[in-house]
Amino acid sequence: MNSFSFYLKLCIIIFVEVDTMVSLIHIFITFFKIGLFTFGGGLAMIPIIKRDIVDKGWIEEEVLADYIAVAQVAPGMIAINIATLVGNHLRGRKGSLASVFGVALPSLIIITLIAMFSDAFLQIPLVVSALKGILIVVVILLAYAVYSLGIKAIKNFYLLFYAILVFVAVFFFNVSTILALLSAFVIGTIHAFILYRKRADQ
Amino acid sequence: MIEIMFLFFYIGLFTIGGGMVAIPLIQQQIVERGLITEEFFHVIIAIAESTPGPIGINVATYVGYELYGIIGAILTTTSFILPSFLIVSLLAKIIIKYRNSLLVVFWFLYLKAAVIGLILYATVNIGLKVYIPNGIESFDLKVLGLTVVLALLFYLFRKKPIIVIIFGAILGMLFL
Repeated sequence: MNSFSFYLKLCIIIFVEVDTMVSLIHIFITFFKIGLFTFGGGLAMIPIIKRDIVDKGWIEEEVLADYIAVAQVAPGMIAINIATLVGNHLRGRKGSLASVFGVALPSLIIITLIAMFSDAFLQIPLVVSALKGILIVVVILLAYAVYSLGIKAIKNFYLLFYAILVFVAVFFFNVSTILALLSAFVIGTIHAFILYRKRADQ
Repeated sequence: MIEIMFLFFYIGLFTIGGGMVAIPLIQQQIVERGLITEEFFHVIIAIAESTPGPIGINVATYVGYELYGIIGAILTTTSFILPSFLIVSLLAKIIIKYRNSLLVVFWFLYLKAAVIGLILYATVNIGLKVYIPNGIESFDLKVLGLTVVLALLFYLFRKKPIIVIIFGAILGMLFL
């Protein structure tokens, strides 16, 4: 009787495991669609991920919110970070490979195709004019990113001064962009240390 | 080729806070090394913004293809993605645990400010080429007019930038 209930439990575990496990091909196809239908990537993916992954019951909404927060903090593109985390949640290492490969593949195919024919495309004056028009939109998008990210990120005068300093250093003095980003870790560490000492003194 | 892969690995590692940061990083590392001309880099950005997929990956793929063909495209894209993938899959638990520690909070406070400085750098760089491509005399009032129209459209369709990009292409074909 004891061994029978053991096998019964085992069967239930196996059955439930198999039933709740999402297939790798499914993960790949879902993220391929996400890569194919998001323009601009990153945060634009989130509504589609919600619809395709949360609504299918693959992941709980709170877990996804946690992953989105981590994806924004961790180095690398937000799109790849979210894909890695969600894939890993669903099927471990293999799942994250399937999701990252899926989300990147549409870009790889589309851009390679465009690049293959771009020499011919760029001979057409109308295409060149269209690209000039698009570049104006790119400037608007970038300027809006400065504004919308700036309002959230620049919380005090020090940070404003630092952001301007980074711009001046890179634009006028050709300082390496990587060096500028590394300086944030140094200054952040110093500032945190000063604050820590102040708190310890009190 | 290995140098380019390292370069993109490195750019991928420092693309913190979204693909827009990849634009100034790639611009400085690739254009200023003379691997691609500035004009062509701007063509790549316009195409990368108007095709689906994360913009960073689109730019990496395009630059890789231009330099070394299809294999180049696959290699640059892979090396660009690899740091995100490795760090996130190995360190996810640590990041979740420490993301509210004082030190990490301050790192990201300054990192985000630096990122804004860098995106501003990309904006000014591309903006200069759009408005005054060949010195002050080349300033074109038509471009400024289109900017006003497109900015208004962007205000209306903020949630769907692709619509504004399509308008940009149409207006460009009509007037530029």
